[in-house]
Amino acid sequence: MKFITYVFACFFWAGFLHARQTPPDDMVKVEGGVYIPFYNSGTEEAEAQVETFYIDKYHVTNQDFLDFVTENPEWRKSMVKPIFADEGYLKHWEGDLNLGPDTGEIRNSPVTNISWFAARAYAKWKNKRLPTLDEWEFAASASEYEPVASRDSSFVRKVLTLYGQPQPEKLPPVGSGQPNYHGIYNLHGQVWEWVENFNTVFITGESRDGGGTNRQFYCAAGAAASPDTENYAAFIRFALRGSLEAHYTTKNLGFRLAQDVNNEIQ
Amino acid sequence: MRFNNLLLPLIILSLIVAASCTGEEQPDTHNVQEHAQSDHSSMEAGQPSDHSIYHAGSTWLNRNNEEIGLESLRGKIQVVAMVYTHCDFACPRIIADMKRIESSLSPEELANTNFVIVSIDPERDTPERLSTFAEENNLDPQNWTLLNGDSGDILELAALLGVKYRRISDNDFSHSNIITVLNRDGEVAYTQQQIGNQPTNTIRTIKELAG
Repeated sequence: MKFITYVFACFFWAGFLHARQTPPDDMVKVEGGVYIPFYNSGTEEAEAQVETFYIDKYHVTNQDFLDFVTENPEWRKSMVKPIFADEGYLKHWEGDLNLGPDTGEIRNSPVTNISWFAARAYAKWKNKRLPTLDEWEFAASASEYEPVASRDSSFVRKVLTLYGQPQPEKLPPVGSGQPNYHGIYNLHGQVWEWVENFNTVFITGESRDGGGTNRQFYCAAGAAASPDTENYAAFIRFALRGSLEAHYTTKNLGFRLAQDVNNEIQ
Repeated sequence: MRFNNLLLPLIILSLIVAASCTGEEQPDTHNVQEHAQSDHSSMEAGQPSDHSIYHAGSTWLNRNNEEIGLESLRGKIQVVAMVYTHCDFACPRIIADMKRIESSLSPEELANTNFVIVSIDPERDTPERLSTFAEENNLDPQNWTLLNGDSGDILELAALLGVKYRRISDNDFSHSNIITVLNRDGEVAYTQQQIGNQPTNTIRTIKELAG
């Protein structure tokens, strides 16, 4: 009897250890590393250290978000405070708890028309958080085969091609296509994603060094042929984040969640 | 063509203004945000208005290490800036601007106005440090609230006020030099985007709100 108890205890402990090292459902572990942010002011360190973290394989879907607003009425579209979301919030839904005639098609598609405040509230409800800008960029620099592919020209071309594609009227379900090296789906191309500290990006429309540079700068076709194309893709994301405010919602901006690895041990 | 491409990163950098502590000035873009102003008499009870930042509901520590809810600021006009006390350049100027605003108000106006310094550097700007800083700068406890908070709540408040900030080294941050005026209900009544000039519009807004 004692022996059996002992065996059970061992199994239990092994299971516990295993659970600690396994990512939560539908999340993957991204091993930390060093990443070079697209932009720094010159006074900053060129490299950023990213700690190991968990991140969702898929975007948060319309159905996921419906579950959230069902339990949290203050985030329904008729109830949300305008300081937390602009008038486009969840505008593709027919009602507060009704995805409309296309329910079957969009249920498992990424939820969009979501503000940063709403995305964070959802994350809090899930006991998770939004990925930081560095975490997101680090995870998104992985190709299908390599953890860091920012210098891989075929990967870079693929990302830019994805950015160039028009958004379909109805977004396809999450998990379409190939996952990247870490097992994460659709980081590029389907929708843009909120990150926790999106408002750390400084940008102005003003060019400091006079005439002519803007035109060169916006000549995207030229940039796409250069060895710095990954910078250009990163620039697009950078510019987008710099233009956002936390209550903005758009039809091509969604989110996924992240979690600290040591979160479960607590 | 190729040469132009090499210029790209430089051009991008030239487009970017890392504000404040690196010494750059923001362009002069004052903007008055006009939200439906709530009726003061009906405001006292119940929920803050729809545009009130007090819906955030975050909790902070003041210089006396007391826990206070953001919504406890409701009822007075608030003049808010987000800074860090170890900053050598812009932050002292922001404080100086706020003091200039303070000194231009009548006793009646001052009785209805409070000044809030929110630290973006919560590890170093402990309540103790904030208390020392307040004493060094003669920030009257009657009219000045200094807040230390959780980094997520700081980020949220920054988002509500349109403030951007980023740690740029172990010791320093870049951040917008924004001073925000909130009406009694916590709606953004005016955003001063620039420091160093006479804060005329800021003062005018406060006087209107206090009147």
